[in-house]
Amino acid sequence: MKKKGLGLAVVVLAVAVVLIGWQPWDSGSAAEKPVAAAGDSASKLPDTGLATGTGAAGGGSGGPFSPAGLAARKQQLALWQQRYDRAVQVYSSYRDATRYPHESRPLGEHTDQARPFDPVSETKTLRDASGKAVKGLRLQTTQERVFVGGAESVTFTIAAFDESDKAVALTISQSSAQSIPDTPTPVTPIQTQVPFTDNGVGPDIKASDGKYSARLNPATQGFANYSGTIRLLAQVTANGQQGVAHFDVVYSPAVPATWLGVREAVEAGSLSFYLKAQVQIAGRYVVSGRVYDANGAPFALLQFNDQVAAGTTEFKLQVFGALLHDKNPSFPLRLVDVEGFLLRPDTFPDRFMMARQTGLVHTSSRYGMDRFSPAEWSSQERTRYLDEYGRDMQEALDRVNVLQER
Amino acid sequence: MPKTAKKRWSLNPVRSALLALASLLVCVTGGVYATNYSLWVNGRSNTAVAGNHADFTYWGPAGTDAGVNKKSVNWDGFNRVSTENYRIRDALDCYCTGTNWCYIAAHSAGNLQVGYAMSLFGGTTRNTKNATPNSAGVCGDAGGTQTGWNIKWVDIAAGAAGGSELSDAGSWAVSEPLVSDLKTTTARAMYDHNQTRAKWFYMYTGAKGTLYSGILAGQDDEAVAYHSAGGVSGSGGAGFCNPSDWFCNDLTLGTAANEGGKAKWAYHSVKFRDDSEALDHYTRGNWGGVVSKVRADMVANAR
Repeated sequence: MKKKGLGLAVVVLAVAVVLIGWQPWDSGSAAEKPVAAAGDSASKLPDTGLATGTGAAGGGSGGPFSPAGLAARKQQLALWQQRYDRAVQVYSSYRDATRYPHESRPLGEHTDQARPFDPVSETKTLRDASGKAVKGLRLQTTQERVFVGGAESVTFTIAAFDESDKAVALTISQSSAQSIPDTPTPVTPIQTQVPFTDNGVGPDIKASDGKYSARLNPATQGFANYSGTIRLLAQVTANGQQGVAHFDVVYSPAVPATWLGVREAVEAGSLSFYLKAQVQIAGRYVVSGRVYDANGAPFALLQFNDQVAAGTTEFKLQVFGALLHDKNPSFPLRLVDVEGFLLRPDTFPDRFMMARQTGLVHTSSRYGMDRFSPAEWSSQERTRYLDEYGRDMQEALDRVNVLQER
Repeated sequence: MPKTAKKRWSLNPVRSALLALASLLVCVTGGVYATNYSLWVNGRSNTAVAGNHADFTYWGPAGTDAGVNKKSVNWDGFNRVSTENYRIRDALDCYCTGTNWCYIAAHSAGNLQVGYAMSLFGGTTRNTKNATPNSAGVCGDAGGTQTGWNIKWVDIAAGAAGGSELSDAGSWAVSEPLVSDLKTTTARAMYDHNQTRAKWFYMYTGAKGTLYSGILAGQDDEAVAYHSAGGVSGSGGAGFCNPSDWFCNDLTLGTAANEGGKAKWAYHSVKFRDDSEALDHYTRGNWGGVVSKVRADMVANAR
């Protein structure tokens, strides 16, 4: 709103409010009408503006105490009760969740982040070259990683099963990896053979177990100067049926930073792990680590996401004091499975991977719980949200109360 | 906690005018104009003009109510999530900073876009903006910064944040960059889907799919299966169904783990499961399919 128009706006607004002062306020646009949709309760409301919360309660024909008016009011009460219920749920869960910062969370809240370096395993229907499903046959596949950097390699496996989960003998006639350009401009693809074997050699752990394995090492197989998707297609035959297994990895040859070590500190009532690194490429780094207690119980997921300058630096992973108090883990804590990458906004690939730190990375000292603060997290972000969610809850409750009184 | 209110519904006209004037003066002197917005984030294959927040071509008639102050966050629905995500972040900066707050509705791959933005950029420093976009969908600075955006909650129709088996060779054009991102392994590895910064994702699923029932695991809407639309954590490929299907694990409503024990991503709740198998993936240019359910929720609750 331009300030020079404010004087006129004040007058117009005052007149408008006098004219419509008896109506309940709502920021919804009355000009927008819902389309009819099956099961759409809001759009079934009478044409009183209730669907959007606008218009006069008890409007339409017959006045507020007519059967139609009473029914409309009942529906409006139900609507505001629904809004209130959601507002309470949103407020309460946010308040409880943010006892700890978003970067220091119970590991149980991030179930699929607990074992980040396990191979990605999928079961899918066998499909022929045209994409059609081959009835009665499923492929169990694994791939060691999706995002690949530098000299890292990726192991893939394939096994076949019938509908009753019985292993089916498999042959893989051909398998090759190829670059997949994102541009419609024709480019010569990079292509290399990636043979699957079941002979217990190289990537294959056990011979003749029906699980075929292959390994792709992009840096040494022609992709050293390529960034992007590499697609591995394997021609598979099982029970006389032919099909295709399909894997994608996203590769970047650059390694943006290298790990140097870990130190820890108790500061401001929390335990911090400082992961030292030599950063070659400045930018936004995303780092995460898992914490288990002395008994091996999963405890926390710690995350870092911030801008980092080139040079020797430290990524801070904080175990928040209140989280320690609430979960009471046994010391010493074990920091395991650390991963990190340089996030490259607005580009593809959007990340340069750092080397994985698999398994135990650091063991903490033993501390008494009195070293840590039980205070919940406090920040401008949290206050902002609790204030707004609280206002929403109060407004909805006020509306419910008013509608119940009438 | 809220207090029990004893407000009267009917207001004296003079009192109303005085209240309005007082409110306006507060706005003028403080420079504060708090507004709520409803942002709609499209999925794959969008013909609307990218960056034009008034173009609802992807969804349906622009005059249809779809939540308070609705905006269409148009990205191209073709290129990579990472290369198009700036359009989502631009819109979030525009309407969801300062004193302004947002409700978000997303469809299909729009789920991946919103999740990516919130997980990887949700804790970054944002410039507060003036909610007045230029033709590219970028708003001017209003002065000041804040951590993250102001997002009340997120509604997801037929969410593809867990990918789709149709992105494997044969069903969709493999030359389309977005299709590679929608591969189940890639979509699920792209970011920590649990990291919503405690904002709720309300999931709406469809089950009217038949064409690809041999390929999509469990129940599907003809483009995404329940494992994705229902926000199921972990690897893709697991089949989840309506309770009427005795040979397949149930996708549970709410936040509870699904039958068979697989959890949902944190702060993901299944609000609608298509038990009658009536809704498919497609908007049909009229807010159709699963989107109809999300639109109804936005109409009722995004105010």
